[in-house]
Formats: sequence, C-alpha cells, structure tokens
Amino acid sequence: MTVKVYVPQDSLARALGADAVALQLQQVCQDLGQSIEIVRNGSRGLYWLEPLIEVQTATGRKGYREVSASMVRELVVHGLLQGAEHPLSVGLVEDLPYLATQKRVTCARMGVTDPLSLSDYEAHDGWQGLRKAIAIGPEKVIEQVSLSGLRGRGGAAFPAAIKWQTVAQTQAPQKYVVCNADEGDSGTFVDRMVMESDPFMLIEGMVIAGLATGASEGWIYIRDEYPQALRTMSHAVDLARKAGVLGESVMGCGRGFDIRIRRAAGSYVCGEETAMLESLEGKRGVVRAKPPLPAVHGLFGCPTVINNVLTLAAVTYVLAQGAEHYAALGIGRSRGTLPFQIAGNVAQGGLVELPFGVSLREILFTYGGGTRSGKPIKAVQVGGPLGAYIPQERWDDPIDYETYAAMGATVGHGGVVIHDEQASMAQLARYAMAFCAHESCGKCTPCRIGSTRGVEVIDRLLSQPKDPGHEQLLRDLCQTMTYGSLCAMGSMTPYPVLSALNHYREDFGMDQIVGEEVPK
Amino acid sequence: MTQTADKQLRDLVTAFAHEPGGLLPLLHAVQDALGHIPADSLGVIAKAFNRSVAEVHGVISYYDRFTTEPAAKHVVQVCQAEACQAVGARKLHEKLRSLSAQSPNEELFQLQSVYCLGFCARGPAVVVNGELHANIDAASIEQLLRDTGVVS
Repeated sequence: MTVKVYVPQDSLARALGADAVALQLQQVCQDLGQSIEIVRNGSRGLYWLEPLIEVQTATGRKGYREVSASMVRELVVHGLLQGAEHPLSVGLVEDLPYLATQKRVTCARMGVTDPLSLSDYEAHDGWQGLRKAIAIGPEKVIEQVSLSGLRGRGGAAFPAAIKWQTVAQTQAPQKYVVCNADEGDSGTFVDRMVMESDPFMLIEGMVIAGLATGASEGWIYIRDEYPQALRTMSHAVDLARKAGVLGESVMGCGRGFDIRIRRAAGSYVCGEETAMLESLEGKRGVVRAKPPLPAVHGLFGCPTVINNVLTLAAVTYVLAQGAEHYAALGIGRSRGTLPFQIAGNVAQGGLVELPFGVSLREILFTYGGGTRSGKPIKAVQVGGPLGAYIPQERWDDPIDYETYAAMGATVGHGGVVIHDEQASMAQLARYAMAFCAHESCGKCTPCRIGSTRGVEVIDRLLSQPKDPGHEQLLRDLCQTMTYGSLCAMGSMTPYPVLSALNHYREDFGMDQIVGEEVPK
Repeated sequence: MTQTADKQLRDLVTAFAHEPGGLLPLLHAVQDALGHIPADSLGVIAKAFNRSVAEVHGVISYYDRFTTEPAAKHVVQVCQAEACQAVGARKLHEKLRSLSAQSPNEELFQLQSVYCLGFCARGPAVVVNGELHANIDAASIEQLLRDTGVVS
C-alpha cells in the first residue's frame, strides 16, 4: 500500500531543511522497501513547526514537527508511515487549535494542495470565482466586490470596487491589471506564501479583475528576494495557459487575458504603486505625483488596476461564495479577514487568518505564544517598518483600519513583529530613519533629506539626551516628513520613530515626562 | 568583456530589446549570466533601448540588486530588517564581518545586507551563494560557512 507523505516545498520550509528531509525519506523508504508517494505541498504557515511532515492516514493527515533529515530513519522505523505516536507528533494537523480556530478564507488551500496541481486546485473550489464572474458579467462582478466591502490589503485600504469601477469607466484601447507582489515589509510573508503555495488563486483573481475592467493584460511585480515565488508563478502561468484560463479566450468566453511576470530589483519604495509602475516601465523607481491616479493614467499611461496579492486573492472567494459571506466577517468598515503574520522574536510564528476585530493580545499570546526567547515582550510593531510600536495599554483594542488609524498606528499588510528586551528602541528608531534614507527614491526633499538628517538628529539626541532641543528638532522634522512627503514611505517613517520616542523614552536615555500627556 | 560574454550580452539584448519595459528584465538576465553588468556593456544596452548611457547607468545604480562590479567567489547575504533584528541579526552581521575580514581577500568573500526574504517567522535569514537558510545564529553560521566551503 502506498502511503502519501507531504513534505513542504515552501521556501522557508526548505531553508529549514525540508529538501534534505524529502531526499532522506525517499532513500530510507527505498531501503526499507516501503512504498511512498511524496507530495511537495505548500506550507500551512505554522512556521514554528516547520519542516512539518504530514502523513495521510485513514483518519486524516498526521503531522510531525521540526523534522530534520537526521531524524527521518528513526521516524520511519517507529511507524511514521502509519501515523504512529512519536515525540515529534502533533496529531491531526487540521485539529491543531492554531489552525482550526482561524478563518482561512484566502489561505484555505495553503499546505493542503500541491501548489502546481491544476486538479488539486479544481478539487478545492478552484476557478469557481472566475466561472461565476464570466457568467454574471463585468458590472455584476464589480457590484459583488463593492458589496463585499473589500479594501486594498497592501496597506492603503482603499475600497477595491471604486478602483475597479474607475478603470472600467475609463475608455482606452489598452488597460492593465498590475499585481503588487513587492512585499517588502519586514514581518510580512503572506504574499510569498500565496505565490508559492496557491499560485492559481492569484491568477484567478487577476483574470477576474481583467474581465471586470476591460484589461487584457496582467503584470505581476514580484520582489527579487523571492526567487521561488518568481519560479512558481512563472510555472503556474504556463500551466494556466495550457488549461485555457489564460490566453485569447479565457475559458472559452471570447475575451482574452494573459499575464507577464516581472522581477523587481531590491528597492523597497518600488512597493509604492507609482514607483512600481516606473520600475515596470524600465526606469528608476521614482514616485509619481497623483493625480493622475493609476486607474486613469497608469502603466504606460493606460488605465491600470493596481492591487495587492491578497486583494486579488480575496476576490476569488467573494465571487465564488458571494459578497455577503465575505462582508459578514469583520467589524465596522473593515470587512472580511486579514491574514496576520506573526514574526520576529515569537515562539509560534506564522500565518493567522482571522476576521477583523481580533485583538493584538490574542495574536501575540493565544497564537504567537509570546516570545521565542521566553523573555517578556518589550515592543510590538504592527503594519510593517512604517508601522507604530503599539503600547501595551492598546493591545486589547480590536484590530481594524479605523481603530488603528485613530491611535496613530496602521494595520498595513498585517505584519506583527515582536521584540524582546534585546531590542533597543533608540536603535530601532534610528534604523527607521536610516532605512528610509537608504530606500528613498530621492524625489522629495522631506524624505530624501529629512531621513538623512533624522539619523543625525537621533545620534545627537542619544549623545546628549538631556538637551530638550534635540527632541524638539526631531519632532519638528517628523512633522515635516509626515505632511511634506510625496509618498507613504517618507510620511510614515515618523510612525515608528515617534512611537518609540513616546513609549520608550528610557531607551533614549531621556527622562520621563512627568505630569503631562505624552505628545503624539 | 570576453568575446563569449560579449556574444551572450548581444543575444540577451536582442531577446529583450522589444519587450515592453524590457530594460529591467535585460539587466537581470545579463547579471544572472555574467555575475554583474559589465561597465562596457552599457553602450550596447543603451543603444538597443534608445536611451542614453547615463540613463542606463541611472537605472543600474538605483537598484540594490544591480552592480557593475564583478561578483566575489562567495556571496553571503544576511537580512538586517526588523523581524530578523528581533532575533539577533545585528550580532550575526558582526560575526559575518569578522569572518569575512579573516578571508584572504575581498574577491573571495563578499558580505551584503539584504532587507527581507519573507522568512520573518523563523529568522535570522541568510543566503549563502544563492542557497537560502533560516533560523541561523552567530553560532551556526560559522559551521554553515565551513560546510559550504566559504571559509576554510
């Protein structure tokens, strides 16, 4: 009897040794005369367990955690292929509370399927959204996206339907859909997971966007630091073409759509939509002034839908299951789910997809399990490098776009980075400015010069922490960057800087402000 | 450039010159093939895209990935972004710097900082000659570099 064993091909699982495990498993089973079929699945996103091996049994898929090549022989001899108990056993993977309590809308197939298997994709509701979209027509598709309440998941949280409607209404001989897959935020990896573990879902979302808005070409801008995502998406596009999903007549509907993959080149600001367009056009990734909006004048001057990977992925669910099912999740004006990514000094880091409204405390402790080091959490940065450090007294607030914006923070792309006592908040504040200076496109003075001076002012402040002039200058500088920068990189760099300054004054060697409100 | 490299360059230029936005794909292809973008290739590239050498130089110098400097024999990249910093990436960088300083010359071992490989849940992240590694610390990196022949 052939036993099916899943060994993830996800790049992080491989960086932790999954390929060596697969090789050793093949070898050992051959030696022992055991017939196995190894499936290289995606990752479930329970990265604290990777490499996570799953064995198909009659009762379900049983998991073994942190398997190394050197453990394989012992595991097989002790009944791995029968799903036997072992110190590395985690039991039925789908029963793990970390996974079972999530609301996996976008991430449903990750780790379940073989990422490049068209039959797996079909068997797990694949292409249902696209079929529905073709059946109901462009106007109804945009209506569904509108009713779902879906907002851009890259970080700007702009209503997706309004963007699509603008493009649909703009007459032009050529229109484009561009997927922003330049996931540059430290602490984020879900876009990488989509591309590596469920690539057809992204393709499906882009085709739906194209048909709804009249765009015949989709481009995916994938960061250079994601070589496996680049390879997998390229392969998936080829397969989708062969399956008739891409080409001159999508699923025979008479309208065409095809996809080009473009590789980025190590510039963080090229995750900003207009800098990304410049890069796609073969130029320096310099930010464009808006208006005109890309929806009207975008790639090569044509009307362009620009969406994050997650936004396009969510669209497939909205169309397949109906807008009301997506809108039923979430709170306030933040409908649907967000795949949070718990990262940094975390015990149980990984992908946690939940409806908006969950608290940061639940993410940090119920899922994250606190720090990896076992020491207390010192600081938590939510929303990427341009996000604020969230003070402990706000960890119980429900996470949604409006609540976080109101406290001077941002949800961003859902990244949650945990720091313990080894973090110096002064050094992290300095790093925020230094990173901005390094990555600045150079166009606007508040960012280009502000961040450069920001590093210098912080250095002066740290050498003379009792001189109030340095703090005043730093706050002044941050205000200029916030209100004067051309794009979010310059304007939001003050978020981590000021939140570090406000909530961790002792790290800067400064006295506490006594009897006054902490300035924002 | 050698004759071989020149031929490779011209073939790639032909392949990409008419791709929309083809300059970045071409630069990637050249760097992948030759290890860097030779300074004396800029004229050919500029001409194919009907742009100036200065513009092409401007594009190359803008992006961290592109370089006109020949690659070292061993390239080690270590992530220095926030999530990896939270688990000791700065110390790892210092350790790597001291290891590379011990290396006889710079052409053998080049250390680069990168910013996010998406391994943020199991950092620190390191790339050794294109091979990805996660959960590396200052202790394990030396063994890794010995195993991969980067240091002796």
